[in-house]
Amino acid sequence: MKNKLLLIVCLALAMLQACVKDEEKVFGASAAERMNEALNNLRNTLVAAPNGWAAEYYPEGDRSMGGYNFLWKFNEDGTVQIAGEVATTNYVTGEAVISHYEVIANRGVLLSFNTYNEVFHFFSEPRGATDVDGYAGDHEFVLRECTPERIVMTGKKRGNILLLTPYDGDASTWETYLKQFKALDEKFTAPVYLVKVDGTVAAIERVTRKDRTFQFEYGKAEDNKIVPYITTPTGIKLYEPLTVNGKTAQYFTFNELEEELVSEDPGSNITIKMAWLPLNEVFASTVKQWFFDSGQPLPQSDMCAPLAEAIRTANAHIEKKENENILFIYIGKGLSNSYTGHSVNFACSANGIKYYTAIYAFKFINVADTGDQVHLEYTGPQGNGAYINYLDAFTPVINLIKDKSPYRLTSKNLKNPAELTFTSVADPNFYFVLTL
Amino acid sequence: MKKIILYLFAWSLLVGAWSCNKNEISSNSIFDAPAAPQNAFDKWLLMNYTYPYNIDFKYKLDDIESNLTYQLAPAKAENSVAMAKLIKYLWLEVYDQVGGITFTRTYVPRIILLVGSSGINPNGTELLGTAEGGLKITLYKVNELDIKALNINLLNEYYFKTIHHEFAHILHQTKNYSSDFLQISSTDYIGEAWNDKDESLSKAYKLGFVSQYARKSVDEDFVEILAMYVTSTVTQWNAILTLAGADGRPKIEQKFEIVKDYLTTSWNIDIVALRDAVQERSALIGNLDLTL
Repeated sequence: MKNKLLLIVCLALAMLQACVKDEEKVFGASAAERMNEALNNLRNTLVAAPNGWAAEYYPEGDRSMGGYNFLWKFNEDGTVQIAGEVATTNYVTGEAVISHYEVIANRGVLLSFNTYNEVFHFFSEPRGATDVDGYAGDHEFVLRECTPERIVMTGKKRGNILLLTPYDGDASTWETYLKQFKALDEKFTAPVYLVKVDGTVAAIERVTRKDRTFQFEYGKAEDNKIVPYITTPTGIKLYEPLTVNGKTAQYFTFNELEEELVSEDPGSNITIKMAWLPLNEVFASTVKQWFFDSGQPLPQSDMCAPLAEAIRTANAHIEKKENENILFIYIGKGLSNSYTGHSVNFACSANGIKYYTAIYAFKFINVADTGDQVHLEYTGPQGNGAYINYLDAFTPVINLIKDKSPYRLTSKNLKNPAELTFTSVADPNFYFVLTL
Repeated sequence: MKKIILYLFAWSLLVGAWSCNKNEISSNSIFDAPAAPQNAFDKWLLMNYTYPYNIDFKYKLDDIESNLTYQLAPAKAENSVAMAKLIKYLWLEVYDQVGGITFTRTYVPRIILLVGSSGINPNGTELLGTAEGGLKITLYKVNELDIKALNINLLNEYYFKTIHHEFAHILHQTKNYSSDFLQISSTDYIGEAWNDKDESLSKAYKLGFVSQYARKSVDEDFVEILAMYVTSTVTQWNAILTLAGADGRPKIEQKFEIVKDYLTTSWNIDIVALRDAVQERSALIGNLDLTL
């Protein structure tokens, strides 16, 4: 009898225990129901904006190109109209292109632009053998926050933040809206900048711009900083707040008269002021590539006859020896993985896609106190050995360039040169033109 | 005592029942997510791919289905329509014609995935297509298709050699081919070096291969014979044999005989009839309506 009693008490206790373990529901609905609700919410919110959404989009995982503005209008039939500020092969700035989108469950709520849109996928398609990931932009985004006032997402592969805010103009204003950014961006383009906090220049060795980033150099490479931004109708917005000398700012207005960007954030007082350099300093410190026109038959760009002849001869040489042609020639910072220093580069290709680069390293030296003279000092072939096959062909061209140094530089635009004419100081008949 | 036991028992049952009551099944379905809207092309695909061949033709790039190591762009919608029609005409219906629709239905991959861009490897080579375990064929570079100026040689180079190539992989992965094939060029397979600067196409021909890629491995060699043969006209195929010269030609012919025999005995397919069907249809692609 006692045993029976014990059994029943145990049974009752076990059941009590079962009740105690019954967990309170933290959420009002199941995970699947909440996911469906979130999917529907994003779909409905995207479609609900009557004039579409203004998007702040950052390609490249390290945001090394900065940000670009888009306008997106989502439709209920699964199509989306996209216009961007960057002109592509077939579309001008602000021209809308239609493609498809989908909101699906994948790592959370995912927005995917899943058929090709030339304007949008410009940033997310490969660009040939030397740039296999192109501008490394995302075309799928994971939702973080969704309200009618703003939608925040992160790129699925690169993780960059994408911010959407409702656009308040109608469709007829898209083009004007998107065109203003490039125009403004060009207005504050300068070779270098001075960053000032409370009117005092901050201790940054050099501030330059590349695409939509400011590059802060501090003397040691590991201290250098990339400050990505996106252009706004009145100035710029940094990807994340910047702190210099204890002051923090994210939003800047451009003051055209003073040639500076002025921080808007309360109490910040940071300015980024445009500064100008003599032409030889611009070239000697270049981080860009200055090209000979690479149209066929080579060379198409403006240059003196002896150099043109040397290039033609070199081309004939490699055509005969390697069955290849010169694809392009540039002087400046090397693009090859094997050498990124200052150099003269000849890219040669058999099919116009895959190419090998013959790299000849040079030092670009300012001729002191001239302001416009640069000496090109040849220091030898560089790279992974591709030059060996081409050495015979290009040596005469290299010899000409080095023998005629130093050069006097001229440009149509002294503040922001996009083209440079090199004229030999010793032989004024020897010249060539390079363009960015 | 008995009463107490009874009470205790009844009470414990009640508690048990009450604890069960708390876990009601929700009346809401978890499968009520609205499906994406179907457009005219989706409906066309249902009638022309899903129902007759049980193929999921994915033209909207679903990143999880694609190769995550490459940066890829989706296919243009209008190119996907054209591609769907061309693949049906130049590939599926060819196998229907020569091998019967049951054969096609049984062995075609269950997924065809279109990618707009190519997948470019750092060594400069391009991924044109892949097949995974007989289940999926992925075609790249669909955005390069010029609908207004169709060129069968370009179509073959970019897409149809790839499709026949990948389908041949599915076939030999299902029923293997004779090991005699390996003996013909056993020392000339060079793996990834097939694309090296010194390994030219003319060298490949002279060694008894129909393409540079065929030198990668014996399986690639086997499927390249089929793909090159059916997508080449008689003149083009003879030109390859001529370029192969005294050393290469006999090897290619030996390999071809093994492929021909394999298709006949394993699949009851006549490779010459297959080639003729492909070529007849290739000549007529100008008449196709590649729009919806």
